[in-house]
Amino acid sequence: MKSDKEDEYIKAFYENRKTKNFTILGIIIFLVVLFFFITILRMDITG
Amino acid sequence: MPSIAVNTKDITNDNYNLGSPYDYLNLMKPRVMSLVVFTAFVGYYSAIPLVGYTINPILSMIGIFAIALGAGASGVLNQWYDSDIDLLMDRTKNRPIPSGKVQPSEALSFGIITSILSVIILGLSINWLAASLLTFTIFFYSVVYTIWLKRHTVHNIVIGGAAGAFPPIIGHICATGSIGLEALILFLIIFMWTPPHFWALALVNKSDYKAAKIPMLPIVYGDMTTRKNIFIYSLLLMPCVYLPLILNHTGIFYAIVVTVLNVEFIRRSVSILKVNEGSEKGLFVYSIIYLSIIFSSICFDKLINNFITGQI
Repeated sequence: MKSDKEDEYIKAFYENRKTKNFTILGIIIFLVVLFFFITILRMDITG
Repeated sequence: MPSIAVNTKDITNDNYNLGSPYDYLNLMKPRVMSLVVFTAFVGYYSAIPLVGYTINPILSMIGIFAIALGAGASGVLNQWYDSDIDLLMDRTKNRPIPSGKVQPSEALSFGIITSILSVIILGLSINWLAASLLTFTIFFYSVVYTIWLKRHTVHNIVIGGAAGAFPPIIGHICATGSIGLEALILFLIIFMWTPPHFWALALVNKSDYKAAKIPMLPIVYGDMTTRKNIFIYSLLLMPCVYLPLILNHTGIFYAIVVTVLNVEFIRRSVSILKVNEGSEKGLFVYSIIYLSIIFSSICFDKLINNFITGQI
């Protein structure tokens, strides 16, 4: 039988994990965009 | 319900904490990061007249961001290794690792990944010489200073101060692709500024360092030797800050600002020598303002010079 405290911990844990996963996803997307921009700028397509 | 099963016993354990993004930001020592960004920017900006305004501003901003990331990564690795002694000191016991907000293994992974990323970003966006020096700086701070010097020698912050002095050189390389004399002068200024700054802090937090058994100068040789050394290093710093002027890199505006700041610096170091109450904390705070204004005035002097010569 789980106590209320345990339930709260579990709920908070899943919330934290979700936030963390989204943060990591955000960082990965940011890096993809960053490397894309670096490539474009280094190509000097603007002349 | 999430598909990956997690042991309930682990979750309910107080030691199992995922940490928030804010905790991870704190791991990166944001105040140190901002100082690194600032000094790197000065190194970069002071080199611009040498090469003209040909650097892509977006790439430059990405480069500065990479330097900030590298500085943050060094801070994370430092906090990971020092978590045992951080717990013993009042000043640091609330940091994310000793307070249990972030697990040491998570911090180590975070530090290594951000280190690698910062070097790759700097190498790809600017050049690989700057990236190499950033790699060396991260290594110097996290291995040479944190692991080797900090706990083993009284000269820890004197030699370790080099780690904090590299960013202007990296900034200079970002602008020019090579290491120049101007960058080496900025390095020298920060290098000579570090000992009086940290020894003043060591006098204030002496009991902390004693509890953690860190061989800072006041612990090993006592307060009076520390006060004398602060004074000597303050005197040695003075000619270093005049070097940009002597070598004609800056003008009259810089000369006036530096002279005023130097007089106050010497006055405060004399006050420390006389064991005046509150002089230690006073010098510590003033030294931060001192460095910030010195570096700002280098930029401002360049700006005035560029304006006069019609470059802007």
